[in-house]
Amino acid sequence: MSVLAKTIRNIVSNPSGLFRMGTAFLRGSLYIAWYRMTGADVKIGFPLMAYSKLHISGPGRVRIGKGCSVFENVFKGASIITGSRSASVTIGGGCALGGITINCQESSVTIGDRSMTAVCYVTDSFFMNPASVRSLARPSIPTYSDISLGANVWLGANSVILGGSKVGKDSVLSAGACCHNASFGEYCLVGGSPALRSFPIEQLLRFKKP
Amino acid sequence: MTHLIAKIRGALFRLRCRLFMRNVSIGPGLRIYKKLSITGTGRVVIGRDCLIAGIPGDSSQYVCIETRSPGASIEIGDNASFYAARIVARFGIAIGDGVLIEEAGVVDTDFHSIERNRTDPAERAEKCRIVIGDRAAIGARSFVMKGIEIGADAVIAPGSIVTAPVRPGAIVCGNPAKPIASAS
Repeated sequence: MSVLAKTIRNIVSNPSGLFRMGTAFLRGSLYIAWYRMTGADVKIGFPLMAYSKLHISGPGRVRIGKGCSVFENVFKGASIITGSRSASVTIGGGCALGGITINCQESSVTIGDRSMTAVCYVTDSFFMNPASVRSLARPSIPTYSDISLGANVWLGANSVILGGSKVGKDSVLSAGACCHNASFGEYCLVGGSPALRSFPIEQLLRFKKP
Repeated sequence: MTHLIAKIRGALFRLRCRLFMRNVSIGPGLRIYKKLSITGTGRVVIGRDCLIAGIPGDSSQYVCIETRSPGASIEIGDNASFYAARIVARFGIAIGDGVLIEEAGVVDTDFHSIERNRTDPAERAEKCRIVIGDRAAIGARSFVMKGIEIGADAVIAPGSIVTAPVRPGAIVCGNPAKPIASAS
């Protein structure tokens, strides 16, 4: 009941927000229909709230869960680029995607349910263009390793996640962090560039004054 | 079809440079998939068969090449490819053959001094020149600061800030960029 009352109060105080929600819902439905018709292997759950542009390109497999929303964050919507047929991008339900760029060339990128993203860059290979990746292929360059981010992860602004990163559920990636080939546990604050250490948030909260 | 349009756009850009921008010289075989902007009065030399493109899914970014003084020079070798790179020179930037730069900044000046009036900084050309070796690759959202020399075949991971010289064949990552592996 309180949720309903809150919703009604929000609508009364901000009628243009309701209009924006309606347009976002329509735009999201159009995106779902468009990618079902044209995309090679793209499936987006209903409903999708598209407040900004959603760009999906490439032949790989893309799955986006139910109830996601795409926000505008520093003039950018969400963009997902896959490089080959073996690439797979899986995004859970209820995510708030704003400004995220996912580049998946040959491995898999998994993002859990209810994740939040700022302007960040998730990439499994060092370079975005498949031709350049192939021409640069040397044994020393760590290319193509899987990325898995748990549920309810918050990716901070300007963070970069490179191949081989694993972040547990409920964790927070701080702004400007750069993860490369590292795995972090559950409910941690991950920072630094390159990110090497993580701090359990429960311990950090203990320092906070009540 | 897009490749043909890119070749035509490159040829038209070469013609425009020959007619109106005498400080810019571009080799044959330039392909432009997205906007290329060259500004400033300094000398810009681009080699043969270069590729200019944007980042897929990001319509707002394009390749910017800017010279900030008449004595500045930007020299780019053959077969280089730029994806939404930003190159700004006050003194000189030399980029070798077969270099790949993706959505990164290569800037050889601080633009302002740290004094209160924020005038032009007292920089010397020999300390600020940037040299990028042949076949080096710079990942997206990274930044190359002034006075850096990047060796041949070096790889700079996405999201790194390069503040120290990079040895040939090294792979660097992070802020400040540190080597994570080395091709020997």
